[in-house]
Amino acid sequence: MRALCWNGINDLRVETVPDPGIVNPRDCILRVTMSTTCGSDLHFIDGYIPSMRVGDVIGHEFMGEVVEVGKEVKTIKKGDRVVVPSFICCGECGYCQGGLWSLCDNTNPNPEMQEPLMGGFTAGIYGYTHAFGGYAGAHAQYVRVPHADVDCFPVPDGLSDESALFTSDAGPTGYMGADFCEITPESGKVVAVWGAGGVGLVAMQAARVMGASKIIAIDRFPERLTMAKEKAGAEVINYTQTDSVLEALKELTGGRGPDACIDAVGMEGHGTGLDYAVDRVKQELRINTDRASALRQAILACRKGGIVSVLGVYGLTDAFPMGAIMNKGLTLRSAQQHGQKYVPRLLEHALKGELDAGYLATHKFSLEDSPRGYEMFRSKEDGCVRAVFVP
Amino acid sequence: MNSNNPTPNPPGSKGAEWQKKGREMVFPLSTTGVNVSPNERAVKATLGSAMVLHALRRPNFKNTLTGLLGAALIGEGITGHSRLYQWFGINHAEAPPKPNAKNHRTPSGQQSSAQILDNSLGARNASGEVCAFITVVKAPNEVYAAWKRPDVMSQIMNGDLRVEQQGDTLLWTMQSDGKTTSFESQLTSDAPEGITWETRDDGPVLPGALRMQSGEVRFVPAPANQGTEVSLRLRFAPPTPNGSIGARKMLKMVPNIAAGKALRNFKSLLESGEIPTLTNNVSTRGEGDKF
Repeated sequence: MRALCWNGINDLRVETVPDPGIVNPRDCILRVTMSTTCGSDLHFIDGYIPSMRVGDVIGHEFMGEVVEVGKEVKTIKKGDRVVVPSFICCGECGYCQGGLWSLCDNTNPNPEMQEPLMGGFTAGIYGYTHAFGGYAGAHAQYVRVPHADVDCFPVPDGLSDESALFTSDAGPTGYMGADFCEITPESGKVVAVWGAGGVGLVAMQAARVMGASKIIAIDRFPERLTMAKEKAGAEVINYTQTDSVLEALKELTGGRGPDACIDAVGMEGHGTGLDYAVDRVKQELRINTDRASALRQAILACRKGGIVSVLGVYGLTDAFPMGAIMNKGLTLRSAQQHGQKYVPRLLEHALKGELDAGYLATHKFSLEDSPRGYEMFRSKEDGCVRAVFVP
Repeated sequence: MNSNNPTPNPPGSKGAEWQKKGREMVFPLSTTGVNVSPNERAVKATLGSAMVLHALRRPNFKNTLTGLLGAALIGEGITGHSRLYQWFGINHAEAPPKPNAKNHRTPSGQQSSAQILDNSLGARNASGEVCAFITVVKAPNEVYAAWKRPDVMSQIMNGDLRVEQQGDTLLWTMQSDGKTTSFESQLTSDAPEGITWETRDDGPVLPGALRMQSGEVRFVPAPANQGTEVSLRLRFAPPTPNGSIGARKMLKMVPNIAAGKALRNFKSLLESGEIPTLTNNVSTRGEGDKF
């Protein structure tokens, strides 16, 4: 089959690889019908997250049609149109049963790669370095899905592929980020979101659905800020055109600061201050992995006693304002996305038209043109928010 | 008096001192000595680079000053010499002598570091004991029954180890680097709470030149219905009885990792029905993968 493979830093090529097959009786094989880029892919494509191997198939946000099932698969059958969350989960360990799906104990074949650095390990994920499992990704014609009964979610009729696709990763990530903020209609919370990419836009929409009284989007790309206004009714701040984001936020919140701040930027953030320049130099010298300007700003901006919800992917962050967290009594919540918890309600929201992320698919490519898709996605050329691939 | 050849100041005089400082200021790159510590040099070089980069990206008057300051910091980072430190007689390149810590020890702090080390789990590990712990979301009796199944042991050790019980004897068969090693252990206790064994004679020489002397596996109910806490302890004798702690630590690394991996595989098999695998994983390298 044809698949998009990592061949070195910033070197993606479509190559021919063997077809996947059933390995365990709970597996299924999907014919991938659509997959999409994700901002977090850029971290390993750029070489900031180690343990990729030349020839790895990438891609972790996808949907498809079931073409083969293992003999112990009970609920999923051939011909089903399903969407699959990025993290592979067993459904039986304490973490899966507790709703903390991305922490599954039983799906990462290489936990010893993460454990020394983090004191623990995540579940396995498709197409995202060997430290995260080494599983072949889904920018391909076919993909093996372990634990099919747990991880395959049938897509309701009447929902387009684009609308269903983003419930695989961007949807549950953004939704979880808003869920962390404890938003209720009664609380009247003001929520600020750094990063108006796919995850950030869904986080804003989710905050609106949950009952936030005001949403503020912070980014530097005018077309993304426009999307934030149109899709989530957000007030917008272009941080390259304001003297101080913190002062702008104070103005929008009566001097209090936002009740909840969501970081949807991650380790390759941009900024205008000296801390960004220092991070940039250190990252280029590989002394440091993170450019965390957005996260630091979110912590400083958050009102006293507020919540900071971190969705961005990070490694090792220098100059982390722990003092601000401690002295302002902030709660910091974070996780890789617990997709299996949120996919059912996201599909329901999409069916009702309350939260449909299909608009994120701004550019479509064949699998053979997928390297070009990643170029446009990275450079945000032509207002690209997400590039989707159709094998 | 020739103005180009002024009369020198007497040595030790204030004038001589000022004259020396003046020379050092005129020749800024003269190596009058490194007085900046290595860490500080790295920080200054990095910070200086960032400041210069910032100035180049956004040129204005303020940032030009920032860039010049950054260039000066880069200079100090490279040469290790700070004129400001020299002026104030500061030298961070030499660490000041530390006060004797023992003179400040309180009665409660009288325990020697050797004793603290001996009492720690790390010290017990350093003596040749390998430990691994895991919690399995199953009841203790179910975990105990699974542990005793030969096919389970074979699966969790990737087929490299097989254990069969015959009466109170455990027959071990181990595959490593194409070689097969077999030995027997005596079962010293066998109950749902745990199993212990001792290897007969001096025990076989295992891969890595370690001799397994004894072992135990315990099954304890985890709090709040979280399942069963499984602890595995294996005791090895190092190849040289008088070997250093460092050598023993290094030699036990492989069985330490193997024990942890075995428990993880055991947990995955019991909870999810399978051990996570990259068997037949596809890539341009073909099928199958082990990092």
